[in-house]
Amino acid sequence: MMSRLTRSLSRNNSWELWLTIGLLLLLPMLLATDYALTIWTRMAIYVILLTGLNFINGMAGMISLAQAGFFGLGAYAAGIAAVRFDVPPVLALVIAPLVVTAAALLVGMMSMRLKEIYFKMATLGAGFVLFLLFGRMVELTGGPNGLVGIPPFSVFGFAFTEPIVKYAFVALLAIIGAIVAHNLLVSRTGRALRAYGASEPAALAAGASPFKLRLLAFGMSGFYAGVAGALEAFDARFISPSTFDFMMAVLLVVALVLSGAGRMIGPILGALLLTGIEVFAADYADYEPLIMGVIFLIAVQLFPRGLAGELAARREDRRERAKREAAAQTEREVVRA
Amino acid sequence: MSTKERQGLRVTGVSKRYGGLQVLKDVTLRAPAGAITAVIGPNGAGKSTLANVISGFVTQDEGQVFVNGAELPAGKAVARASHRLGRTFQNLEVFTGMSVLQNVAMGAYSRQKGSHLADLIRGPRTRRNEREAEEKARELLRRFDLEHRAESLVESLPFGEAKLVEMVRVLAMEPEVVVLDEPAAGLPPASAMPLAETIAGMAKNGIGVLLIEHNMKLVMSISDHVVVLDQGQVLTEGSPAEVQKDPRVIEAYLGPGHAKSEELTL
Repeated sequence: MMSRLTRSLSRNNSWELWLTIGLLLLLPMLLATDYALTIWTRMAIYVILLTGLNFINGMAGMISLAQAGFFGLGAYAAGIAAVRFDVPPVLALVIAPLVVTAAALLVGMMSMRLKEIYFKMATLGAGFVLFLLFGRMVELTGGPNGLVGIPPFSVFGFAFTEPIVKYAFVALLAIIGAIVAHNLLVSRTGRALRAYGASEPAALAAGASPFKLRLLAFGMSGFYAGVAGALEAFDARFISPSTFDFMMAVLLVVALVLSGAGRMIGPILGALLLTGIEVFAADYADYEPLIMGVIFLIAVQLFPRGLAGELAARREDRRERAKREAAAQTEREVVRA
Repeated sequence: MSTKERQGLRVTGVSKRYGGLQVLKDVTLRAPAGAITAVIGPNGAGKSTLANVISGFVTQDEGQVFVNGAELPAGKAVARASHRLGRTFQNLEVFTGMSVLQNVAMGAYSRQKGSHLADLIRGPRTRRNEREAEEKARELLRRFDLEHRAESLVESLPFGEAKLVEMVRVLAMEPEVVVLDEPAAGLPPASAMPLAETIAGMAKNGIGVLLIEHNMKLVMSISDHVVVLDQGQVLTEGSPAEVQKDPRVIEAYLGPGHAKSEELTL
């Protein structure tokens, strides 16, 4: 009884978490070649990155464009620690999220009091500053040519070079990340964050402090971006600024919006979308922005509520229609009697 | 709270000026616990500004607001809940995208303990808190015949029910004082009776209700005390019957010349 009650306060979110976990476990079974596994690994990294973005762009209902920059900061923090300071990868995987969390809190404190469009511009600016730094601090980052020689991830001398091991590790972190995000979403903290997105005055009147809540969302998004960035560095073993540019910043936001911002299922659908686009657009690299733009335009027209939102709305519609039909049926029977 | 005397709401000498416009001038009033105090007045009398000062959305230039004798910090809306002052809004303010149950549970936000970081782990304490919040919310929904709507998205409700959800959400905070900003606005006349019962129920449970309302019928039928605002000042106050007959009130509403012949029956 109790568990049923708790589920209903968290309305419909549990199955989305289970589906996320299920997909992360099952997808590689569909196709487990080495090449496919590297792609699944990339997807799992995107799941972590988008789960982080979902704290701000989904739960808090603000549009942050800084996530690509934070992703890059995490990658460079881990990469630089490992390459320039010989920090063991395990430790680098801890350092990177902390660095990015600190940066995200700083950006959050400076930007979150701004109104919508200014907030977007501030976060875009923050992401762009990071992008510039990746390119300019040549001594540390290797500049536009990128940072080379990043070691593979390893624990006590055991290197994660086998594709299946790499995937398992990243997927495990993605699953933990999803569970933590789900915990937050269904708690009073998550409720308050979403409440702020829906009605600021009513959330204030209920006694929820927006500053604390949004700072938490920023910190979380930074932490996840840090983890994702570090994993990216150890996975690709080479990073360059172009991976974390404006295009990426927009893509992340678009992928999340299209797949369902604020929902548990959003990050994995968004990650599948991003990976799919990357794989199929690779053959037409020069036209990538064009392809993205067209997909974006069409999708926003077709699914203004996001993919998950659209599906949920259809379900709701069907239920409503069924209810109306049942009501009409009863009415007819009453009239006949 | 039981040992402490429930004094309800007290507003003393509140003034507010926007540039050259004096919106509130030395407003003093009380909304004692267990009673309905109405604030009426023609458009532009300053009713909404008063509601916003009391609930901390507008910072007054002068004057104080007290709940049970404790002064509320000026202009701090977020601090009101911990002083058990709740409010509803003139334009429906519900949490869209969330279920009715979640809306009501959000009302109890300030009564729930625990740190945000602990919510990430969802340990036994968080689970227990959430269970309690859910039980309380369901109990309230039952009391207002909304239980069958618990899982519905709040935006799928008819307007009248959504308004009721807003009120139930405020009750979830276990308020000492409630400010209702035009609760009848936009409601069909048929909904006026249930609304009146809901408001009367609040007062019966010991809440100090400050009712800011245009609908004179509603005000006159349920209020214990009526305060008339005009041009930012308290014009007069008294029982509904007294206020209704006061020539100054009729003049303020209808303009000069009507005062002798008519009674206010708007």
